[in-house]
Amino acid sequence: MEITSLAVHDLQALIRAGQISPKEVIEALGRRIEEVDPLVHGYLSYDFDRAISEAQQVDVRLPLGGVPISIKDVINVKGDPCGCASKILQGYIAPYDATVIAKLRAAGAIPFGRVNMDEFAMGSSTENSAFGPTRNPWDLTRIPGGSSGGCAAVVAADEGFAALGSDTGGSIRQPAALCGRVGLKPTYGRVSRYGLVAFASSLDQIGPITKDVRDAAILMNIVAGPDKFDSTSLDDEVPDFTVALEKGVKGLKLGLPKEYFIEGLDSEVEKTVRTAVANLESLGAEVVEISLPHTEFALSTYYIIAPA
Amino acid sequence: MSSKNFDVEYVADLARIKLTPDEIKTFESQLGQVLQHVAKLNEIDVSRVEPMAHSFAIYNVFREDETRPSLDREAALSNAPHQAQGLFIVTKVVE
Repeated sequence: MEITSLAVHDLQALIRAGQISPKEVIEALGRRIEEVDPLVHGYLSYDFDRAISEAQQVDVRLPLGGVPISIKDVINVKGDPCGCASKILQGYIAPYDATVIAKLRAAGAIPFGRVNMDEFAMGSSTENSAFGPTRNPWDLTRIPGGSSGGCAAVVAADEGFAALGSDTGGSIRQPAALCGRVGLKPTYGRVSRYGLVAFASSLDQIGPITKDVRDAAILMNIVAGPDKFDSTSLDDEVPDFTVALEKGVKGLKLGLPKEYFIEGLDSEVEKTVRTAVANLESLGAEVVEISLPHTEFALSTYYIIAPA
Repeated sequence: MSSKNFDVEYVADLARIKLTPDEIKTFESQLGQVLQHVAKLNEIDVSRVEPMAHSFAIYNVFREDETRPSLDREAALSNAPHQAQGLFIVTKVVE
């Protein structure tokens, strides 16, 4: 199996066991990027030499020891450009780490690269980058979604083990869905926004795009929690999100909003969602149809609040 | 919705950008769509809904009023296109 196709938890286990060194991981990632990124165009830039030197100093016993995490070009990483895929910010070098980056580093991860996005996170296709579009690795003629389309694409193309993106109105969840990866917008306030270039401060959240659900839980364990630099962050205890993975879905009650299955929904998408619902039912979840009657007003509300 | 509700050229002037007649037409139509979103929300009766500022009951967040390390001056100025004597030099924008 190729190293680059591993999920974060499998990769870290190999690193910890001494079967592969963090330096070899970065080298494998670099080779994979050279191979596929000319087609996908997920990265705006990356500092390979610095990643290698960080890899040589990292403590592999830490939870993410030696694991490179790809970073959307909207999150400040000290010493890296942070340009929001815009020429307006060209030349800006972040003088500090975002809180999520400081937490990743403390957990042994290596923040890697600047990942493409819709300019200033305004868009949902990653066609609106000043440096050219990112393509969907499953079909290069299609979009990866957006605005965190680069994050979803690099993780889908195995040229990133996991990524941190940002979500204001779907910018993690939609590209993750379009690229067949796991994406989570955390509850507002769960993750500090300090060091995230704002789109709409009362809606923005940083969150993971990963190869599987366990990786999303592991990354959330690291990046979640209150932060004195973000007064809107929640002062709640952070549970171990991986514990819930062992419980399965038996006995869970899932609400399925009937307003989400309306005219205009692609029949293939509906079929896939219905199949997933049936799978959850067969695993013991109880599915109940519910109604969210204000759904039809959600888009208008969003379009007014987000740019306000 | 009619674009008579606003003057695209006036807005462009405020934003200090020049628009071609074609662009004015495009933005008139797009800004008209924004107004349609507002009109859409007028369909709902919200008279009995309390205004909301945050999705959680967070009202005030306090911390101890004490000094702590911050970016040093060199780092803070590192992205300044122009600087002198430890200060940013910017174009005068007020008359």
